[in-house]
Amino acid sequence: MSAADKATEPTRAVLPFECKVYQSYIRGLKAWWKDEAYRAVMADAAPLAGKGVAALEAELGKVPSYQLYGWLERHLQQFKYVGRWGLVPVIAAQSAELLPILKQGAERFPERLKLDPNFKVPDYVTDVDTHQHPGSTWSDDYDAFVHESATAGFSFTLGDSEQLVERYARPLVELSQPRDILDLGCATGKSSRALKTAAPQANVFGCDVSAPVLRLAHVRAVEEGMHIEFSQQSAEKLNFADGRFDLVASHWLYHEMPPQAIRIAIREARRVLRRGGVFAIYDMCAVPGGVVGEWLHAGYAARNNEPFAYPLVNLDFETELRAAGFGDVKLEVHAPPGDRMPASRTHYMAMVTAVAQ
Amino acid sequence: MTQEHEALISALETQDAFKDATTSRLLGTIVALGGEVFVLKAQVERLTRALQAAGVVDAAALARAGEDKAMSAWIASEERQFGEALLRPFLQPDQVKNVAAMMRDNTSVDSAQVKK
Ligand SMILES: C[S@@+](CC[C@H](N)C(=O)[O-])C[C@H]1O[C@@H](n2cnc3c(N)ncnc32)[C@H](O)[C@@H]1O
Repeated sequence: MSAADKATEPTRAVLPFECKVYQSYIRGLKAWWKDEAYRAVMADAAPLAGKGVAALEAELGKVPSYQLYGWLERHLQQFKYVGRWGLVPVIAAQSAELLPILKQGAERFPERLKLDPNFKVPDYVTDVDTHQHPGSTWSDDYDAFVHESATAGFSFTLGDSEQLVERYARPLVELSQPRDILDLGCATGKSSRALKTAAPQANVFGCDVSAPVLRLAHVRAVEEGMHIEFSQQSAEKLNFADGRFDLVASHWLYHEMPPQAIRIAIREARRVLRRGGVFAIYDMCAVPGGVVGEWLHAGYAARNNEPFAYPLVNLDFETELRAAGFGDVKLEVHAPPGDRMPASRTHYMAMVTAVAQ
Repeated sequence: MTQEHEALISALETQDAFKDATTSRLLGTIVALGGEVFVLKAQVERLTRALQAAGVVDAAALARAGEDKAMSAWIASEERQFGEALLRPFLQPDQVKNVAAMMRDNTSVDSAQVKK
């Protein structure tokens, strides 16, 4: 093989035709679930909205629309990962081609990738099978490619790198004018690369508890010619000096952490921020739709193995952030105002920002 | 945690959406799926055998066709319609008007005939 051939060799999992078609089939069912099944549930739930979340679950549990909705929400995601042409078996079978990509990638600019072989991944990560991905992102190296493929077509900013820059990173950079940025829970580094794109002069650091995704984040950053430093650390205990950063950001991290850990992580973020630095949380921090919205969100959290997404919406960020030494707390919800529910099932995201005092 | 939240979480812990009464609806969906998949598999098998026997395609040609742009466009339009076809029967299990009540209606049914 010539050097030119080698340079164009794919560094991603290659999904065979059957897998692509199968994933497309699952997407078709999911599209129906998020539009039609969701709307049927909304119609059935409306007369019961005054009754509270437990009554909604008990009463709607007997109704076909919600039974189907709940079944689809849980099982389609499992088909996506572990069905016959699910991402896990298909990508695991490519380990022999994929793992060298991570290994060779780690040899380029090795000083930019700091893994800790003694690092203990928190139980709240290892116990969950987050998003119903068995083993999630931390257990096997090929899981990094599974995570990358699984989130490629994801809704909102997570799947669209252009939107991720414009709707997430650029506003934060404008707000904080950063020289040093820390991206907490960076996974495969999409959010870190977006921050680097929005602030090319800044020093960008990404951290995560999971080694496989960090390895892949490093490969992707090097491929794109971006100088980003990745390290294996928990947002709860960072190996950075006090006042090191102007912007500490997180894109879809906190719904994977229990409230006690979030409280510690908020204090740790304050420690590594300079006075006047900005802390940003982009996550499902608030749900629209009053009691019905809260009830559906609880079901989502349980069914999609994101248990901490439920307490997240009841966390009082204003109080937590102020107690940790932040001021100027702002929460902007990307969802219909008031008690209205979105027209189809979606992730309702919120951006919380606070300034270190 | 309030009692209400505790009750909600206990209910969600089982994560078993279906109770007995709806098994038949689910079966409708499964059978629809089985039918779609079986027909499709048979069509693909028949076509592939015919084309290979005629020397028209080989494995490489099939792989190329799978990556074709028009093929991707077809898949994108099919994925939604396929989902709709499979799952619609669950929410609307009976597409045809139920006329059982008319059996009681002497003006629309010849009661003499029914009695016979
Ligand atoms: C949904 S992913 C984040 C996506 C990523 N920011 C992006 O934009 O692509 C959540 C990540 O948080 C990581 N995580 C969970 N707990 C963490 C903690 N205590 N500290 C740092 N990362 C954590 C998980 O390993 C996972 O990779």
